[in-house]
Order: sequence, then structure tokens, then C-alpha cells
Amino acid sequence: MTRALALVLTMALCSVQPAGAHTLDEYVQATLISLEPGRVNLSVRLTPGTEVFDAVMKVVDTDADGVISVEESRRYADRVLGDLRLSIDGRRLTPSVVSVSVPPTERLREGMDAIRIELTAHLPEGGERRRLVLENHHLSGISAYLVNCLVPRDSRLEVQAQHRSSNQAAYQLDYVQNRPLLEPSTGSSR
Amino acid sequence: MKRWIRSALWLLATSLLFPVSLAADATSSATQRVTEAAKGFLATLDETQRRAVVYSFDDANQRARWSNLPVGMVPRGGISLEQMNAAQRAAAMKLLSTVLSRHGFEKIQQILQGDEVLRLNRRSGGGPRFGKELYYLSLLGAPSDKTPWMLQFGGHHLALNITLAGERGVLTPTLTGAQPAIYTFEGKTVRPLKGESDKAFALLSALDATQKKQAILDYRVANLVLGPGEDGKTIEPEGLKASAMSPPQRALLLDLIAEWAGIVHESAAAPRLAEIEANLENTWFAWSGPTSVEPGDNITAYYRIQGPTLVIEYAPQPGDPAMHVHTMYRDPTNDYGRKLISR
Repeated sequence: MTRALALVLTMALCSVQPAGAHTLDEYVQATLISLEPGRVNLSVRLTPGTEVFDAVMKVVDTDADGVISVEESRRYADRVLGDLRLSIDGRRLTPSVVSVSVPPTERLREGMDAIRIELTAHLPEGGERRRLVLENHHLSGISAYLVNCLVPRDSRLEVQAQHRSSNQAAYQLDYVQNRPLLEPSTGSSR
Repeated sequence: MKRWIRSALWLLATSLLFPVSLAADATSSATQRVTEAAKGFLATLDETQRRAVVYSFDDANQRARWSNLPVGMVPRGGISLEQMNAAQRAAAMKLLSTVLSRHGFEKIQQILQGDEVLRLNRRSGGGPRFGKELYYLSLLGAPSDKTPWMLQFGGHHLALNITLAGERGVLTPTLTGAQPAIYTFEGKTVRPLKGESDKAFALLSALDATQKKQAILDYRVANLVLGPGEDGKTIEPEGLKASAMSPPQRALLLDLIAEWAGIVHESAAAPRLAEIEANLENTWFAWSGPTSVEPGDNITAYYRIQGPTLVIEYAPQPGDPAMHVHTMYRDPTNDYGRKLISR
């Protein structure tokens, strides 16, 4: 594990939620990572517990009119994006927002639905062994994090190891790409 | 003796402990019995109810309309037990007892009764309704012992999605849960997910220090990863691979898996368990959270079992994790009977 990740993990340890925290008290941020040759996609599902809904709304509903507009949705996705740190082999990546989906406010208030943000980032060429690191600092005081990698659909990619901080705010993925990336694969599922 | 045969015998022996009044007709196949029970249920409904219950087999929206949440928060399709008269309810229960193993039927009844306890113990006021009447039954397609159709039964903490195709029956994806996960009913302590908790702890306890180091994740898992709305996804497995377990440990793992695979009737459960056993060496067991539990209590740790055709998650909910549990059972290769339908 790199010294930088170790530092991140240490920082993340300090923000672990109290052991007795209730789901209602937390903003659950679940990220699924999808690897492709030359690209990484992040699907982030954010579900506010009913007791932290107001705190989340203060960040999302910036004009405080009780309705999350399209523009507020876009700004919120950018805010989440800004709170993420994504790197490959120690090089900072610049993901972009593909889409953001915000359900009606009442559904969010009742804990019935989630905000979904799709992100993507180009991966520069690299060696056979690669290391992807994701840090999520978004609303760390009230959040619980889940991070997982989907089994790559392209058989040239193989996950070797996953490491996480105790609250999953920091995540490291080691994988190999077995063959040089000449062009994007048409995909072979396994 | 093959382990799946032992598991099937266990299911049979367990089922004998829970007598129900609906004895199976030994001369007909399981699918024929389920089909007849479904047709019998439909025959009790009036036209309006029938239209509410039966969906097209390829209705993708209805197929995915299930949740752990109360029905007031996520409306289900079909009609509820509350909306049925006594004869209709009896026919619905006959259908469920036919399509499920006796052990599975017992488990589902305990989940419903738990929701009734939740209703009775709840202070009056607003918010979602609870109770054993608020469970909905729907069918996708026409009941048949030849062509595929599907039965859904669910409400708060329960989503059974059972696809039947000829002699095969597929139970995935299915969600079970309980709140309260321990309660008293008619003077007896009931734990609807007792096996899921106790057998997992028995497996963990059977691991040596090196195996535990691999199985126990050093991070918190706050909830289900592949819960409702996460169809068609396969995550990288983690934890301890069963190939690194001893035969007795693998037997414990298979017995634990049977808590989910054995919910459906024995004729469908046996081939499913055989399939899971065939892939057992490539099945993983991961644990996150406390590694101790008081006798008679539920574990408060998350665990996941994942193999080539299997994902099981057990997720205690924060707050009072021993008393509020969600579980998920999937086959990433065959959710909603995808493989059967494509044949």
C-alpha cells in the first residue's frame, strides 16, 4: 500500500461514524466501479436517511424552495465530483459527469429513493499492473460509504486486490491488463 | 452421500417438523401441483381482481417492482391478503405452501407475523402501515406446467420472485428480512432468520485463525450492495474461498446456503443445491463486523456468500442490528429465470 493511500486511510479512520449510528442517521453513498480498457466508469447511488435529509437538502436545494431543479441537480453532481479524488498509478484523473438522476423530493425525504450520478474518466495508457485509487470526501460527517468493483466484462482485465479504509471512504483497486491496449475492445463477457 | 442430497434430506426432515394441512399429491409433479394451485387461486377471484393480479410475462416493470420497504412507500403489484376474502386468502396460502418448501413456508409466515408484531407495537400516528395483511400476490403470465410463468409475493421485508418453467423453479432474486428479528408469538420465541444467523456464526467459528484473517473484512459494510434495483450486476468476490476450507467447513457453508435455496419447494431446491455444490470450490465467504453473539441472539455482522451462480448478503441494519435484518439471494446468471426462458 502506498504511503499516500496509507495517509488517506488514516484520515478516513478519523471520520468513521459512531458504532451505534442508525441508517436513518446516515447518507449512504454506494459506488460501483466498472473498468473498461482505457476507461473507468463510476455509478454513485446516494441515499439520505430521513434524519439527515435536511442536511443533504441544504447542499442540493441551494435556493431552498423545496424543489431540486435540473440546474441544482447538475451543480450537485459537480459538487460530488469535486469531493472525489480519483487516480491511476499515482496520476490524478479528471472524471466527468455523464448523467445525474434526482427523484422527487418527497421520495428522497422518505428514504424511498436515491440520487444517482454516473461518472466516467479516460484512463491513460500504462503498464500491465495498474492501481486505481478513489477517495470520497463528500459530506463525510454524515455519510456511510460502500465501494465495489464490478467483474470486468473484458477478459483482458483482471482484478487482483481491493483495499479499503475502515469506512470505505478510501478505496484502492489493483488490477492487471493482460494485453497492450491497441483499441477499445468490443467486449467479451465472462 | 452427496452433500446436496444431505441438504435435501435436511430440508425434508425439517419440513416434517412443520406440518401444514396441504399434503402434496404424490402422483403429480411439483410444477403441476403449483400450476393447479395457481389456477385454483385465480378461480376464486372476480374479474377486477384477476386483472389486478395477472400481468404479462414480459412485463419488465412489474418483474422489478419489489423492495424491502413497506408497501406504503413502494407500492407492489397484484392484490394484498387484506384485499382477499377468506376463500381467496386460503387459496393464496395453498399456492404459497405448494410453491415453497414447508421450511420456506414457515419462514415466510414468521416474517409476516414479525411485521404484525411491528404493527401492534407501533405507536399510533402517521407513516407507513405494517402488518401481516399487507403482502401482495401477483402472477406474470398464465400458470402452466409447460410454458414459463412467474409468481411474486411480497411486502415489507419480503420479495419472493419465483419463475417456473416446466419442471424447473427459480427463486432468484429473493429478498427476506425481519423486524423485529426476534419476537414472542403464542408463548414461543420466534427468529425468522435463525438459520441464517446461527449457521453463519457456526461456519465462522469453525474457521481457524488463518482462514478468519481472510474471511473477515477490515472495513464496515453499511448495507446490502446488490439489493433492490441492482439487478444484473456482479461484483468482485472477496473473503475466504471455499477451496481453502475443509470438507466439514464446506458442508457448513452449503447448509447455510440452503437457508435461501431451500425456501422453494424441494423439487426445485435439490437441483439448485446440486449446482451450487458443483461450484462450491469457487464460492467465497466474507464477514464484516462483530465476531461474537450471545446464545439465542442474532449476529450483528454483515456477511456475503458469492459464487459463480450465487450471491447471498446478510445485512443487519444499524440501530438495533440484531433485531432488524435484510438479506438478499441472487443468481447473477439466472435472476428471474433468465437461463430457463432463453432455452
